[in-house]
Amino acid sequence: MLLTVQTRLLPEGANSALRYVALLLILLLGAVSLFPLYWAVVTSFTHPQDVAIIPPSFVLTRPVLKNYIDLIQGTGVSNAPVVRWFLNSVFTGVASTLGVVLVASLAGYSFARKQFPGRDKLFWIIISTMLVPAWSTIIASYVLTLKLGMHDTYWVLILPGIASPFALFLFRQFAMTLPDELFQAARIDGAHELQLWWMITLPLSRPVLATLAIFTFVAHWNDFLWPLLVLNKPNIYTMPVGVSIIMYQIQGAGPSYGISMSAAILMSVLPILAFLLMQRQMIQGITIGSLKG
Amino acid sequence: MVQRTDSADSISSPPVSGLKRLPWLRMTYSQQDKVWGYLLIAPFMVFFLIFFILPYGMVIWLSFVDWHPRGVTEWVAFQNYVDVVEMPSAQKAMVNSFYYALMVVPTSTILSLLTAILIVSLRSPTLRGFFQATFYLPGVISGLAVAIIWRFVFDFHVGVLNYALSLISLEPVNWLGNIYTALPSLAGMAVVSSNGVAIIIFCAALLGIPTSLYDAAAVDGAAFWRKHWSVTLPLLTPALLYVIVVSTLGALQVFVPVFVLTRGGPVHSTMTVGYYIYNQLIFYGNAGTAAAAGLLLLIATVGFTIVQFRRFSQVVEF
Repeated sequence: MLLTVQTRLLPEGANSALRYVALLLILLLGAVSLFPLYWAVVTSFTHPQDVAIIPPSFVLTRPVLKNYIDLIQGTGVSNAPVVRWFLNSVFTGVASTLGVVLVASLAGYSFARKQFPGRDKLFWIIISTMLVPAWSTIIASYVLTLKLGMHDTYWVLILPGIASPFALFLFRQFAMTLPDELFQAARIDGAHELQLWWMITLPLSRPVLATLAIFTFVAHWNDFLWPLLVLNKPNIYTMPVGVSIIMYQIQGAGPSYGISMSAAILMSVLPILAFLLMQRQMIQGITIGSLKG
Repeated sequence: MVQRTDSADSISSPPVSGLKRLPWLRMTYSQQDKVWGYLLIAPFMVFFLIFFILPYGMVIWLSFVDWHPRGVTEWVAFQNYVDVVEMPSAQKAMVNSFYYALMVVPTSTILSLLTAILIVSLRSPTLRGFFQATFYLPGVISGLAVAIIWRFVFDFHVGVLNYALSLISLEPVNWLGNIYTALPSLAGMAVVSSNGVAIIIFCAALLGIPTSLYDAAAVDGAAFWRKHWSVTLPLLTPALLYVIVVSTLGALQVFVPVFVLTRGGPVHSTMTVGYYIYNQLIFYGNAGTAAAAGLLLLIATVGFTIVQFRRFSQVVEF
């Protein structure tokens, strides 16, 4: 039997009945947590005519792409270039991920391996900004980027997020674990600091860089509040903002849930794919970012 | 890199001797180290100063002025704060956010801890990984997608919740349209759909408890509950604290579900601080009031922030 319960968490001599209860419970909880996503997938492939019927059908009998086609063609809504939104999200996501990783790896390397006055205090200040509620400064960021003329441009989606305290923290913690001998040897060979960063630190940090990149991209992809505030022209919308506008236009009617669900799924495809491909790194990343260090 | 060396020199000799000609590299090694230290953090610091530190100053200034995108900015002293404190919608927002956090945080913490205990009890690492992934998966998709999906789940006519009620012969509930059920519905959605991170953190913490401690407790004759009281709980406290603080901060700032599902209604019954600030800024163009509300939220959460800060200071070693 694959499923056995460790005695250290359950009472001594937990009998097989208790083990089955535990297994049943975990399956039940898992089903509850996955069910909405499952139903959204089923509904998104159901013909609009069959979406709002009672009793609902929980299995997909005749999968059709009509909802996705309607969504992409913008049927029933005005001015909805969905493909463009998707590409906007991809482009700004990739650009900001590259920026975040570059800037954080340079600074993380420095904070981990260089000695300079004020280093630890500075690091503290940067880390402590992670603990401040986003709502308290977002208004100022809104006004600032407005004054800089950045609203409705790609810049406003990329630049404000470049200095990421989380990325810096993650990278610094990793860079501190690298053996000092490597750096000394390279220095004796005449390498300067940028070479130490590029030829020693970065190649050794591939796993943490991958984790960082995936987190940054998914966070950027999923970000909704900031683009919602600073984007007003449909051509520049990111996927979430565009979808929220569609939702606003079609809300109410039962059959329109087909389009809503296909929009939700279309938005979720990349994060889910990223997760399936890089599960281990992501799960490790959460633990490093929160507990370890 | 500023290298102005003779070309012949840099070809014939290794880079180190070439670099020695530069005046600024006549510095001692530790001086060079300092300069490099600052140079390497410079790109980060530039963005950090502009987009993190500058807004802190600006938000304080904004909270004392009447600000309009086009027009005169007027100094109004504490008027914005007075407005926030006296406005019924703002009062409602604070009360609602508090209630929401009170409904979400304890329930979801206990639920994720229970789930984590069940997952850790599995002996097969493959299955443990599988279930961790299962519970984390709904957490990687955006809050917006989750909220859109739940609008369907909550639908009065065709939603799956009311369908389930009809199966057990109960009257359908207007989950989001009723002032008594709207906020609890949002809380319920959060409890079911946002446990992934907490579960992963609890799993890591539980798996990190050395088995030898349990063995030692068993040798000392500790019974089941005693064992968990004296071993599991103390070693789990940091993780527990972290999860509670982070989820409280998150719950107090809730915005996306409100925006998608209820827009603060019906009759302000789901007006939260986040939605209030959004409303003030976007619909009323009151950046000043929004800034004041944001700062009040910051003050209200300062206690949590300090707890988390302490936690970080234990974790981050210098």
